[in-house]
Amino acid sequence: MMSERDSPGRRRSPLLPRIGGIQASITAALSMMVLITILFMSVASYNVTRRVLVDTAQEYTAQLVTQLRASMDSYIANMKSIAEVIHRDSNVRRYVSEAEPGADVRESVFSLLNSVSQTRDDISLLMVAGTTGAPVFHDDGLRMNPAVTLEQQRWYRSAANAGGEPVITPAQVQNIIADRYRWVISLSRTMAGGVLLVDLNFTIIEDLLASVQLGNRGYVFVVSETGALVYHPQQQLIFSNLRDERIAEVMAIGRGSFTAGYGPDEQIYTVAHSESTGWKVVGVNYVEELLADARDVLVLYVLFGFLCFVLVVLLSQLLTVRISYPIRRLRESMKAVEQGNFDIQVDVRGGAEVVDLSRDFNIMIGEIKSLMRQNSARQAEMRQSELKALQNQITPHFVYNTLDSIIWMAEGREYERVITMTSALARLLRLSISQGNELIPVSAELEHVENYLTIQRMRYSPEKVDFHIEADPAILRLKTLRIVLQPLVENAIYHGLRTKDQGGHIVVRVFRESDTLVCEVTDDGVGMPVDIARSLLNGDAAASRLKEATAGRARSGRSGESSGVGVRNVHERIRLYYGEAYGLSFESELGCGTTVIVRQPVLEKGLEST
Amino acid sequence: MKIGTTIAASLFTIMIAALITVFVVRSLMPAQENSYDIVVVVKAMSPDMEFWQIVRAGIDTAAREFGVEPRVTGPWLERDIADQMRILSEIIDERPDGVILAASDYEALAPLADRVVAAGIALVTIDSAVASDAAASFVATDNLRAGERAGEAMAAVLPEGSTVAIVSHIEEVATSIDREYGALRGLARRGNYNFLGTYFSENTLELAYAHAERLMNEHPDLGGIIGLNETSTVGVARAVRDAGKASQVRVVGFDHSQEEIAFLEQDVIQALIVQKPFNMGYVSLRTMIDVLEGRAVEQFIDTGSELVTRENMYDPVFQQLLFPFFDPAR
Repeated sequence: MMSERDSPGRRRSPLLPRIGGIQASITAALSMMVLITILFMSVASYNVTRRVLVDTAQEYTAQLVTQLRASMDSYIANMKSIAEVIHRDSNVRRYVSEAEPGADVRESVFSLLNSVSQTRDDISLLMVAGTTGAPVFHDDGLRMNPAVTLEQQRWYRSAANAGGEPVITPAQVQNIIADRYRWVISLSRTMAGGVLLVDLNFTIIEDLLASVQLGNRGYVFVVSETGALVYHPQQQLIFSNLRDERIAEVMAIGRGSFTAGYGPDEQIYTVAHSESTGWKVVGVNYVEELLADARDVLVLYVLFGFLCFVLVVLLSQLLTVRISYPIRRLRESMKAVEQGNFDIQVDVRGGAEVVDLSRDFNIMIGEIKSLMRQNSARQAEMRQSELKALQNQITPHFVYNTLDSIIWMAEGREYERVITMTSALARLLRLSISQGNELIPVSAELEHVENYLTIQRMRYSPEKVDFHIEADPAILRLKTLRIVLQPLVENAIYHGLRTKDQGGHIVVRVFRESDTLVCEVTDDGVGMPVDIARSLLNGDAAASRLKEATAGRARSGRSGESSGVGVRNVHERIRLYYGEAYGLSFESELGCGTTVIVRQPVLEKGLEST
Repeated sequence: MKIGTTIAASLFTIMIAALITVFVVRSLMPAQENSYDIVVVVKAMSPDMEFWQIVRAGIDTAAREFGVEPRVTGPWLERDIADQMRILSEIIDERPDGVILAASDYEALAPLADRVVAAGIALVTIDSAVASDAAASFVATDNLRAGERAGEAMAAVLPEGSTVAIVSHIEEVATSIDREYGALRGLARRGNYNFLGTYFSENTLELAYAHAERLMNEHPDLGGIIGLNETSTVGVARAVRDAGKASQVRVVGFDHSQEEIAFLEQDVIQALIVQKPFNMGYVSLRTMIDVLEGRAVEQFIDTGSELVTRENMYDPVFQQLLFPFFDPAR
């Protein structure tokens, strides 16, 4: 039994594992498992890594901005303490309050400012200005910018409004010194009608902030309490609207951190708030840069997943070979069995299940084999008994009829004929009842039919039944199935000659036609229609109609019946014995007689017993 | 199924898996897109040339943002035109991905600009145009607009009917032509002014000073002088101050040197038109990256200019412009 899938017309591609095959199933199952695991693990670990990286960066940035804020606060605190020192100095007080301070007072103010400025390099300018006198700077070489007045300055106005408290003015260009424009953070404080100014060099703050590295794109900026930019590395771009900064969000959050933007521009803002200045130091990180490591982890997972997949494929191959190879061998054995070879013992090594399967297979094959042997033995037996039954069918009719004739002759005291007939019958019976071979020499068969014809001629009359036997002496030793001719001759007499008024002639011819032994029984009787002749051989419903017709013609139901049975028996026996190719055939013509032809194979020696 | 086909099928499956893996890994790897080799050729490398220092600061800011590392080169001084030509032709031989060029001469650099593009190098010009339309984009101050602003600023401080002169730098230089044309248009838009003419300083203080001095002597009714670049403005302002005519002769100029700022504070100069070199540098590199990545860019990008007066010069927005953090002289 070939399954359709294996038929040559639908051969699958040799490259693809068969869908539903063991390997495909194993590979699919294992791959699915590995892929789901890897996917789950990589997503989970990416998220964990991402969170850790972001948290770390945020923590680091928070520390950084806090530190920057503290540094800036310390600069401011330092400015305040310097201002305090100057503020407390008695000479300074005298200088700012007196209408016309002496040169010695001015000189001592100068030396104070100068010495203070010497101690620190972050001080850009120290100035004390009185109500009337010229301002005193920490450096004698500095001149007042003739184009400006102190009162115009923002820091001056802020200090005047603060009423003696120190005021911090964020980064601005200090232009009160001629030919010098420096970025400073100013501390200004009014005192007794005058003002003192401490300028912190903004470069120091700027360098501090600009030197901070938050990845490649990250940066730090500072906003004042009003939300104005104190420092931003891209201040110009922001002023030109080439860039936005999230100042409103920074002001809203006050301190802490928030995330903004999306995709490659996703940023983390970390805000530190300075209490002393009200400024906010903001660190900006780009998430994409932080996640470079997380991406590496993901790549690692993908590569690991690939490795696992390769392992899965190899493993499934190994499993497949272990599982499907024995199965394939088992299947090959089954195919051999399908083609009729039952002498197979499967010896398949493999999994326990497969070993069991092959053992069961072997048991099954053995069972089938013995069943078949039993079956053929029984068939042979049946055929034997059938043959016997067929042979036995012949004799009783004839014996009855012959004995009837003998009685008839004995009543007529024709003792010579009784003796002849009885001895012929005896010889006939001896041949019929002799046990042993189904096959007998042609000579014996001819002797048998001769005895029979002798009896029949005597029963009727020599005129009515005349016979003639022709046989090539070379074929007398060939084997024929026994009691083949007698029923045919009987049929010829009953159907061909008996109803013919003037009697007839029967010719029995035996000859060889290449490998076929041919016996012909020809009568010159009334003949019969072809369909009746054919139905004689078939023995079906048509045959029973024929029997009635023949019976009518024969005016003797009993004998007609017997002859039909006899012819059919001969035909069936030959076919049973030799096969469908052999048997009887008729040539008949109404009024001209009938020829029955018997074909049997010429048996070679050794093939005779089947 | 034979063992051989099973192995082939496995190899096939593994191969497909490998392809998918490579694809996924490549999509996960950070794109190395911005590893472009970009060369910036400025007009002057000298640290005294504040304008170009600020351009470089803008370029540096953009470089950091876009992850590129451009090389900046150029002649020591703006007048070394031959030097710039030599440097540019050397760069063409190096076949970088892109060149940002500030041409120091409108005509002389044109063939080289053509050669840059012919060599398959992307070209963006900044500040000064060249006589070639090879560049993908020109990033500069809109000098016509800047000139107009100067004219309008002069008109704002000068009654109608006054006499005005222009001192420009070099004749036949694109910036000079555009600013002059713009200034006249700005003036005309605000009223009728008596225009004396345009005089060229050849980029020297002395010549500018001499022109202004002569104009003041020859035309006692002179109401104002417009200086079209830094040198011309400073020369004019010095002459006005020295002649003691600061209250009579109004000066409107370009750029923002420390001296000009002092003159602005002293009310010798009434207004300065300030360009935005930082933006110029930043935008030029950003535009170059757009070009290299195949995005559409505009033929001309105006980086803008600001009108700075004595009143607004210390506004936070202008402080940064006038006194950039990057000032090396600070």
